[in-house]
Amino acid sequence: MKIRTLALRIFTQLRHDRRTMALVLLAPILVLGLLYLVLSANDSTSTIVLGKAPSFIARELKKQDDIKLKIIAPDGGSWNKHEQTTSKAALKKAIDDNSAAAALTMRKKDMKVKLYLDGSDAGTAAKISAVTGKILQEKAAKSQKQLMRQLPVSLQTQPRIDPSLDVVYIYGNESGDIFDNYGAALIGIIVFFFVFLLAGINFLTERISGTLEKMLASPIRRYEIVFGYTLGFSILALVQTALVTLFAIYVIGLKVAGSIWLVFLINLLTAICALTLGILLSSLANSEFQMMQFIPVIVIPQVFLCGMFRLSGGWDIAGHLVPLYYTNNALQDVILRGRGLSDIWMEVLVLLGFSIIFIAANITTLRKERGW
Amino acid sequence: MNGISIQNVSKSFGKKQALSDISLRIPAGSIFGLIGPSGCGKTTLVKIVCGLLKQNSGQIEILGTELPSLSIAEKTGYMAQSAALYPNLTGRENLSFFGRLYGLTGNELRDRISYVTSLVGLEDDIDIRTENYSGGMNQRLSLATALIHDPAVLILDEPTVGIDPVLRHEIWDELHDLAKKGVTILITTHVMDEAEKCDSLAMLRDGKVLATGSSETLIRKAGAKDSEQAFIAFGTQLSKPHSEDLAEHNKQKGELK
Repeated sequence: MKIRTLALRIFTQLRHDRRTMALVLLAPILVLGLLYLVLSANDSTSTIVLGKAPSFIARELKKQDDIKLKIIAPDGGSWNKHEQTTSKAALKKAIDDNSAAAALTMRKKDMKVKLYLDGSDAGTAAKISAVTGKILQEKAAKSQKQLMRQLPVSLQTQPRIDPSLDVVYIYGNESGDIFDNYGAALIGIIVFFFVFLLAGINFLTERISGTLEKMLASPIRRYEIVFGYTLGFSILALVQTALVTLFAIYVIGLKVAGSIWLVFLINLLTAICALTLGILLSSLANSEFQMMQFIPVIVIPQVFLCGMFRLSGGWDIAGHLVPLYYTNNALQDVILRGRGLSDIWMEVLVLLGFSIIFIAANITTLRKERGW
Repeated sequence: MNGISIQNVSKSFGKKQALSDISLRIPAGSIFGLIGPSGCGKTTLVKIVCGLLKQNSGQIEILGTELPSLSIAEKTGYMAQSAALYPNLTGRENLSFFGRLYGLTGNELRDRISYVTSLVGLEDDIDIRTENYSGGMNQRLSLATALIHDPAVLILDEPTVGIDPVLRHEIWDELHDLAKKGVTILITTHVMDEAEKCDSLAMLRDGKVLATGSSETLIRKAGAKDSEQAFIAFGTQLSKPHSEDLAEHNKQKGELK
C-alpha cells in the first residue's frame, strides 16, 4: 500500500517534470541515433593516390565498391620498364593536396610495392592496406597458375592447390554493419546510465531537502521506501526501455534474432540494478554534482568492462564483476544469436542477484538515517 | 498520563556530546516549549523523540509506549525546520502523499486535506506547485503536512519562522485548541513571545537542561525582567565563546549527514 503510494508519487513528480521526462525518454534515442550514424559510417569515399604502378592495380582498385576509391595518378600512372618509383616526397604532397587516405607506388624490377597511409584514420588505413594486400595476393596466385599451366603435363600430376576462402556467417550476416555488433551492448549501457543517474539524483534530492526524513518520521518501513522507489522508477525504466528498444529495431533497423520480450526483460533487470545502485551511491554524495562524479567511476568503466571491447592481458575477466557485463552477454545472445531464456538464465539470475544485494544494502543504509 | 516522557537521554556524535542526561515530562494535552541558543541540542532532542535518531542511552516514551515504535510514529506529527516538500508537486499532492503515508484514504483523506488547508490559509493556492510558493507558504504547507493525520502528538521544530504575525496568531490559537482536545505538543522556538504561549518550557544549553517551568518561573529563576532577558541570561551564563559554540554546531550538523 505504502509502496504503491510512494511509486505513484514518483510517477506524479516525473509527470510534472516535463524536462526530466524529455531527457529520460528522448536523450537515449538521440544518443543511440548518433552512435548509429558513427558506427555505420563505413561507406565513405576514400581517395588513393596512385604513383607508378601496373595497370592491373588501378583496375582492381576501381572494382572495389565497399570502399569507393578515386584514383589520381600524378603523372598519368604510366609505368615504364626502367623507371624508379615515385618519390616519397612527391606522394606525400599528393596525399596532402588531394586529402587522400593513401598513396601507392610500385617498382617494376622487383615488383616491390610501397603503400603510404594516412594513419590518422586508423580504420580506413587498415581497410586500404587489407584491400591492397588482397589484390597483390590474387595477382601472385594467378601468375603461379599461369606458370603451372606452362609446365609439362608430367609435372602436373600432383593435385593442384587452389587457395580459396569460403566465408560462412554463423551469426549475423555480410550486410550487418558494426552497429549490429555494438547495438546490443549500447542499449544496455544507455538504459543503465540514465536510470542510474535519475534515480540517484532523485533520492539524493529527497535526502537533502528533508523529505526523506519526513518519510522516515512516518510509520513507513524502510523496505517500503526502497521497494516504492524501485517500483516507481521501474515503471519509468520500462517506458524508456520500450522506447529505446523499439527505436533501435524499427528506426535504426537493428536485427533482433531472438525474442523482443527477452530484450525487454534484460533491460528491465538492468534498470532495476542501475536504480538500486544509484540510490545506494546517493548516500555517499552531498550534492548533485557529487552524484555526477560517479559517472566516470561507476558508469564509464563498465562500458569498457562489459565485453563490448576486448581487453588486453586477460583483463576481460574483470568484467565478471560488473552488472553491465551480464546485460551485454544476455543481450548479445538474444539479439545476435537468437538464443532463448534457457541460454541466458544465468545472466538473468546474476542481474537479479546484483539488484537484491543493492536493495538489501539500501535498506540497511536507511537504518542510519532513521536510527532504528 | 504523560504525553511524552524523556528519561536520562544522552546522545553524542563522535566525541561531541550533543545531549547529556535529559529528563523531561510533558503531560498529555499541553504545549511544551524547548528554548535555547542555536546548537544547544533542541533539534537533536526533537529528532530523537520523532524516532529519526537513536539516543545512546536513556528512554523515550510517547503515550506510554517506548520508542522506537511504528504505531507511535503513526500518532506523531513532525514538522522539520526546513519545509520538506516536493517542489514539483502541488500543495494538494504533497498533502495527499503524506496523508497516505499515515494511512489516510478516500473521503477521510479529502476531508483532512481541506481542513488543514483552511487551517493554514492556503485554500486558494493548494492546487499550484509548491515551487511557486513563497517561504511562508512553504512553511504553512509544511505545518499542514504535520497535522494531516490528526496526530495525538505534535512535534514542531521552529514552526512559525517566516509566517506573518496575523497567521502566526491564528496558528497559535489552533495549537491551543488542539492541546485542549488532548494533543501533546512539543515545540522548539527562539522567539520569546512564542515561548510565553507555551504551558511550560525547558531551557537547553550545551545539551543540558538548565531550567524548566513556565515562562514566569524561568524569568524568576534568571532574575530577569522579561523572557527575552531570561533567555539572554541563561544563554550567556556558564558561557563559552560563541564561535566555539558555532563550530560545534556545524560539526554536529556534519555528522548528522
